[in-house]
Amino acid sequence: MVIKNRYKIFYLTLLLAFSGLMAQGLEIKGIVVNKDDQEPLPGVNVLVKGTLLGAVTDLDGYFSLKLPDMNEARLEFSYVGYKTKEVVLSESTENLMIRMEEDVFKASEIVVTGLASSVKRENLANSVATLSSEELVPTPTESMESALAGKFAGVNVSQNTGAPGGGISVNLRGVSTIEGGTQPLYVVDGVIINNAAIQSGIDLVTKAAGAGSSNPQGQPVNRVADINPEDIENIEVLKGASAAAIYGAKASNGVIIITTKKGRIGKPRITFNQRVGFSSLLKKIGTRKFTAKTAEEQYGPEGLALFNANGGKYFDQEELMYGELGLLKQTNLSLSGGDNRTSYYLGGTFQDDGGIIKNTGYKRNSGNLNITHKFNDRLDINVTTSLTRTISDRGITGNDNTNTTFGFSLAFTPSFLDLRPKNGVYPDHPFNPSNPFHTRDVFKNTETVTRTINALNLKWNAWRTETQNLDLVLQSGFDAYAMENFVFSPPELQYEKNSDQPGAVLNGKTNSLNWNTYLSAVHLYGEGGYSFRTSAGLQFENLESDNVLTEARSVIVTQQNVDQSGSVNVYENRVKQVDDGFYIQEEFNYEDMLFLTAGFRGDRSSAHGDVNKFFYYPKASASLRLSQLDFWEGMKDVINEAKVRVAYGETGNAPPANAKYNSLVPNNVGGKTGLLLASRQGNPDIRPERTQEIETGLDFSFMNDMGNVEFTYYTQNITDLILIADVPPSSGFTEQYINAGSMNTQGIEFSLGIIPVENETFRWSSKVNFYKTWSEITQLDVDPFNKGGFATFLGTYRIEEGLSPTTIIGAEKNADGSFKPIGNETPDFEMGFNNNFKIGDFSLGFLVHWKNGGDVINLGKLITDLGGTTEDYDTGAAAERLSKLGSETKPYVEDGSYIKLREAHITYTLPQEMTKSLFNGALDYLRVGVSGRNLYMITDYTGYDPEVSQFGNVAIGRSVDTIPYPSSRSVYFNLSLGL
Amino acid sequence: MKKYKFLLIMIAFGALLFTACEERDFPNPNDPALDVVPDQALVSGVEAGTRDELAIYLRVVGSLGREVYYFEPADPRYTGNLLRGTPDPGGFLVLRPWSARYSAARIAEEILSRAAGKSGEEANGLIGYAKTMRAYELLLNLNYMDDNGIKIELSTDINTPFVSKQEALNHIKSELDDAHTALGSAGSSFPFTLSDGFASGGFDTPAGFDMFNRALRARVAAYDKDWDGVLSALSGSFIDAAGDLNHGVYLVYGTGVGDQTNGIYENPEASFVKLMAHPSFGTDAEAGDGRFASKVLVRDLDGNGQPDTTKFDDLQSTMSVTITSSSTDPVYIIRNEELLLLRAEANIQKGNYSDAATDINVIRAAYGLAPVTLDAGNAVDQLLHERRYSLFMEGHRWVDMRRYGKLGDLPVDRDGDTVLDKMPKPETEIPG
Repeated sequence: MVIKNRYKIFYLTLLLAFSGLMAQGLEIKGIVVNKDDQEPLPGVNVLVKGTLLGAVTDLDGYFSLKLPDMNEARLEFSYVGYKTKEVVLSESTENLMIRMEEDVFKASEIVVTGLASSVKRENLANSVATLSSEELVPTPTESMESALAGKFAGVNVSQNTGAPGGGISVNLRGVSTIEGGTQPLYVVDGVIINNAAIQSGIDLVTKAAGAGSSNPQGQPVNRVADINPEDIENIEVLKGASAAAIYGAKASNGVIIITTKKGRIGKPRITFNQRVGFSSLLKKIGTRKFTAKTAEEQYGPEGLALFNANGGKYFDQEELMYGELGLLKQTNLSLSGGDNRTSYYLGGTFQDDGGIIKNTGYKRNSGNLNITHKFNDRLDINVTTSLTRTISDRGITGNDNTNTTFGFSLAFTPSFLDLRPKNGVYPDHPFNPSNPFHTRDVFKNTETVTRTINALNLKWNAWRTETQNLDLVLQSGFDAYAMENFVFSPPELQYEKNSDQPGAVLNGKTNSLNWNTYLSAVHLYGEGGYSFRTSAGLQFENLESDNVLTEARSVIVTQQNVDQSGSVNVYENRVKQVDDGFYIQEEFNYEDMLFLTAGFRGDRSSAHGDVNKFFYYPKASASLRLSQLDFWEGMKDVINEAKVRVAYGETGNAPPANAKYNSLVPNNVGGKTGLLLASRQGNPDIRPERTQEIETGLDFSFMNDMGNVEFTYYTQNITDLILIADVPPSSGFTEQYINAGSMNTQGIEFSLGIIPVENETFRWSSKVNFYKTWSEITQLDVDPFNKGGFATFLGTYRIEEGLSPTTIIGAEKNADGSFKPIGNETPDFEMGFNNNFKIGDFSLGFLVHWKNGGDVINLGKLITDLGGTTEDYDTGAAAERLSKLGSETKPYVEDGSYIKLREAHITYTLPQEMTKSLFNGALDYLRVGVSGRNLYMITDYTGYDPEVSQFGNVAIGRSVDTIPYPSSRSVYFNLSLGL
Repeated sequence: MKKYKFLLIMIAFGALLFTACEERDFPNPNDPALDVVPDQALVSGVEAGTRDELAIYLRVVGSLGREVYYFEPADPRYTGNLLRGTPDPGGFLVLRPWSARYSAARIAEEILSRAAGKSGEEANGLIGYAKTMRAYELLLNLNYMDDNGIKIELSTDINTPFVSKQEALNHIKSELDDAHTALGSAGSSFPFTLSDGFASGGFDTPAGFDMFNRALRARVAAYDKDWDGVLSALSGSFIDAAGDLNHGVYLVYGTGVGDQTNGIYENPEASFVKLMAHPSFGTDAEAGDGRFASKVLVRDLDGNGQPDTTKFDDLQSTMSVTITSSSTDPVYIIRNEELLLLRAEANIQKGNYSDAATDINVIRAAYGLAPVTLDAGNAVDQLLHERRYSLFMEGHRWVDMRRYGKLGDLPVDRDGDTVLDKMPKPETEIPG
């Protein structure tokens, strides 16, 4: 430890220099209160700057410090959610009063930047987005990610379908892969959680993957949806490689760090929230209104007969199918508190949401317990455990080759048909293989998940002096879930009756276990204005899951067991990955003015071709607070805070766990086991993708924190892109994973926060985000290829050097025979506009999210065109589109711009005096309010919602619409009280 | 304090050991490695793989030969660009059957490389089986591609050339002949078992399998216009004018685990049937032809005596296809009826009209039709007519009409439709 010795000499010199000045010392006692209501604040950290000495305020907000060796002290008071406050004292005092104020723009926030290190926001060299629980869910949601939409610059959140329970993509800073994982790494209290999207097997009913595209299309939920948004205290988003490098080979898509709620020092507090609301269809696509003439034209004499039989009545099939008013209920209860040594938080949620389609919905029961205990002033332990059970009924929607899904069936259902049951008997659909109303009423597609996430965090302060500190930290935990998918397609359904093996039951069982252990050592050396923090650690990360799907056909009427059937097929898929790594990092802080970081992580993985090779991911960053420099003094009144920052980092994206293997797949005949090679050839040399990112930015706060501005530019070079290269099928294979390309993604992020008005009774805070990203394939070692969609003429994406990877092409070609780009999924820009008002006892807020540009392949429209039911059919527009099918795809590629009112809420808090007068003063607070999510959408898009992905969370090929579960708006009435 | 510390350090080490001793190097957790699986699994794999995407193949060649329509509401290509003569070289109609044939051929190659390490009857049995099956896979792809040729070398190098149709035929012929030779020295039984598709007709021994080999050889010789070759190959086959016309080799289906259903079967009385016979199959049928009655159903679901018309994409038909009666019914590779027609064809080409008529009349009699006499003027048309009705939806009509340069005689139904003569080379087989 050569460096450390150098510190020592430096430290000794300083010590000698100051020793002569030492005087009688200081004794300081005081209280910390909230500036707004003068209530004492327990648990505030008090730090003597330049040393490692400090104290914490007690239950009544009091603290005391003895500093025998000092005659002047700079005390720093910090508390989550409040602005850090600094005072300089040169005399002892008994009754220091510190008033802390709310930190609207989070300038004082502590941000977790590494596996065991954190940094004050004002020193950060990266743009790190954070969200507290109040900001996350002013309006309830089923899946936590949906509450991120529009709130941050550089964070693109898009749902795949409106089906209950989730299925949402979070994309940080644009496209960074073609075939690799697209979702950020989610870390909950130090545990890497499983975010797999497991197919329900419904493709076996819809045969969606049977033609055109063999990609699974069950639109599954990605399992981060199991995290209860109500349990979350704080979310941090490390958007790019430069911020996330310390997470190494798993961090190319960024990292989302979730901290669950913890108890705080204080008397026991009980909170209770009850929410009741409803969800309803956000938008209708409309349908053709038939006349006797058009009924005959479209369906022949039979159509005319049916039209007349129903008296030419108009049935709004959309309303009949999607017009359900879903009842939403949510109850949250929490108990928390603590003293100087132990704090606890216990939370529970019951949620029961109805869907906008009959027999669909979502239920969640979850509990969460967090205990922190200080054994002594050196040893802390924190334990979190949570148990969640969710049940979602998702119906049968999306792409289909059997015309059984609701959307496809309605596309073939003219407005004059009445398919509702008569005397309990559902009529057969005369023009379609299924009666969607019958299907809706008896078909089941249920997903049940039982999940537990457990984390242990142990911190031992092994060594401490006035200037040095060594912490050893152990973080260990696991995330386990058992999932059951149950699909029941009863034999009496029209399409089953006509099948050769009527009736199907699918029973999928998945067991998944992720576990990881981190050991870290953090050494801090602080002296004068300098501090060095050295950290190093080891990481062990494992995951395994096993999915078994049993498909039973010819089921016995009314039976739902897989053994009550004529034939059974079984599918199994295991995933296993074993990784380990280490890291070293050095941080240097000078006077909270200059902040430098350098470090690297080494990782190896069972998923790599060479399992013993370490891949290294370096990082380095610098930030300089200009406002701390002398020359800035004069400008402080206008711009009180200014920082320039630059950061560099590299991360990886592991190849799929099975990419290196040649697989044999069973194909049995005559009772004999037969094996064929899987169509994908294994690649024993597969390497992780590598992202190198440079991020640079400028942050300002002005008018004494009345507003702040953050501007960031980043550029990412992604090399060793993993591609599924076409292999000539005449080889016996059709594709192979290879590392064969590079891509550049750039972007800008801008956010402006201001408090235009602030006084005793009225405060308006407003935040605007603007972000834009663009990408280009810079190198491709394979022939340009098409990816995603169903066929070139039905719209697909083009991966070609010089083009954006989200370029949409179709049948259209240039004169030279090359494909002509006809759209691009990446929006021109996105904006979020978030406003909050406090008017006396009322608080209200709304969030508007604007996505400008970004095209969607609307094959839903093609389906309704083919079904003859598109709203504009009688204008000849559909015939026009269909006549070009095969030569022009553009008519089905639409602009997916939208403006959505994502969230809005209004809350009334009963005045303190009134609350105290109720129930003998037992109540702490009482609030009532109304809130809504996705209340309004403005778009020219003609499908249900331009936020759509038939293929789930794929990197390329998202924006394909084949009539998913339509989006809904939800409105809640809220009652919330604290004891 | 000391107690805590000890306890916590124990926990820490426990946690570490729990995770740290995991092995990073492990075999594929899902599938066996190729080098450990028994020969039998590969032999069954080839047989099973021969069924892969066969339904798509039969629908495509059936549609192109105007034997059927495939009304697929979820995918407009069967009635769209296929009938318009512009199939997408990157689309599944081209790629999936093509790829599946090579996938089975690839396993056949694996069997051959194993046979190279063996000797005697065991090796010859494996060679006879693998080469015959591989030749059959290539033949189906050549039927698809015709003048575009195929690749005969299985390689991941995209620059591997397409060989011409004639070279491909020569290759298939010599593969079949090599297999024929090997089967002659393969003993009395195979070192593996085949499914009922072979076993029930006695084709699961080297001698029996060789008759299947010769039957395929006769078909290839006919494609090659080698009429003496047809007759000599047939003499080694299972042709039997007095035998069951359905005697032959077929692909079997089942609902067991990992098995497949045939993909061709649809309930002919369902409210909507996708695979419908082309109207001309009805209008051109001879009155009382048992083949017509057994292979299609004129739909009259409401029982009003009027055929029900199914319309789709400006096409219509009243007949559903009944060549299979369940999804586990077999699909023929080659059978006696085709062999008799091959012999008739060779005799016609050699001018032996009465010999040809004898075979054709055996078939006609079996279906309740009066005998015909053949002469230079009517023989070919009569033969094509018999093949059309005897081998309906067995993958022949389009190929036959092409062989005789008569694709122009096939009906087209809509403005802009045309009869395609060959499928385009798959996009992923050509550089660029």
